[in-house]
Amino acid sequence: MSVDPEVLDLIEKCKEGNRRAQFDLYGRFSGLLFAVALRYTNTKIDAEDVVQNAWVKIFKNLNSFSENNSFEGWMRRIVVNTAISLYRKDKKHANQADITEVLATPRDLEASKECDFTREELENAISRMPEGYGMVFKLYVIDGYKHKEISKMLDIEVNTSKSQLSRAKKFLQGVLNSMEQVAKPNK
Amino acid sequence: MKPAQDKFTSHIQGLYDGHEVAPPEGMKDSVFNQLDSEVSGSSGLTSKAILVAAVVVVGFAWFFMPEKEAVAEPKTADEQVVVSEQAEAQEIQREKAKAEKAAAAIASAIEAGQVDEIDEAVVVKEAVVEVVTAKTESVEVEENIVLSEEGATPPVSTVQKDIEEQKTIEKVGEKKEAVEWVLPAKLKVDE
Repeated sequence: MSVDPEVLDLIEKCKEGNRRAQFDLYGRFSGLLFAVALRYTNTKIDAEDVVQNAWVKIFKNLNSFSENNSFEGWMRRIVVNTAISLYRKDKKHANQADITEVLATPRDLEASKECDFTREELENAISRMPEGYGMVFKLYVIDGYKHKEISKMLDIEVNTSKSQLSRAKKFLQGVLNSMEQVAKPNK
Repeated sequence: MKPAQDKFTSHIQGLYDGHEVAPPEGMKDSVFNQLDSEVSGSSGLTSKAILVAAVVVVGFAWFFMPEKEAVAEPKTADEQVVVSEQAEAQEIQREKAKAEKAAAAIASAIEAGQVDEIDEAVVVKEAVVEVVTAKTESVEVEENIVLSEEGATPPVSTVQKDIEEQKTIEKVGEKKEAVEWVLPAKLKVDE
């Protein structure tokens, strides 16, 4: 995966401490990274903290970025990891692993629900999820991490990650169905 | 499972594809202020580390330097003192012995009237007086002085060696004056 030459040039200048290049890089990706931060935090204030710390890490660690990888993916991962660090600090979210009940499968969701929900509806549904489920769901479904990666990021077993995802989808199925039923009479 | 998951996942990913949210104003300043503070903080730490290292090096140098001097100085000083004191004591002992011998010889010479022998003894005795008074003021030296004063009669008789014995005996009463005059003359002779 090659990096846009313009971005690559900005990166090189940022490594030299060029402040103008740093501003340009920030302006180019700040909206994307703030959206990622908002997804993994509960409040806008938390998202601001996360993205601010993430940007500092990005600028300080530009030398460790390999040009063969996606620069956007590299920055996303830094934001996600920063958000997860914040998530881990909250002990309320610590132990949500429960693999005893795995009732729903993606097929259940597929069978019961057409994929016609909007992002706002999905975010509304995700916001009602227990955070353990929601974190695995967002990492796996939205940002495309594998269960092995998620298990390392969240310091949980791979099976726990799979279990959490299944439960998240089942939960989402119920929420989206109920939202659809509420919306239908109005239509 | 894969196809169902792909459809669901791709739909959701499509919802978030290119999704951006404008960060609040002031975020940019916060980011770069934090960046500047962290960078300057790390460079400040580096300079502090260098300063601490320099202080440690100087401290070590300072710690070891005086120790060497402190060890060396007293030893040499003690040795010098000991050596000089020992040498001085030995010299005093030798001179004292010579003085005693000379005093005995003078006494016997006076008794026997052997002027030549007395003359030699007096020379030795005067030398003793000079060495001892120049080097120390100890009690032993004072004893030497006493000895020399006791034996100061011989110089008188030395000066008057061509005079008769009776006159020599009379001069003993003037020995202090005679000693004051004789000693410098004798010193010049010795030199």
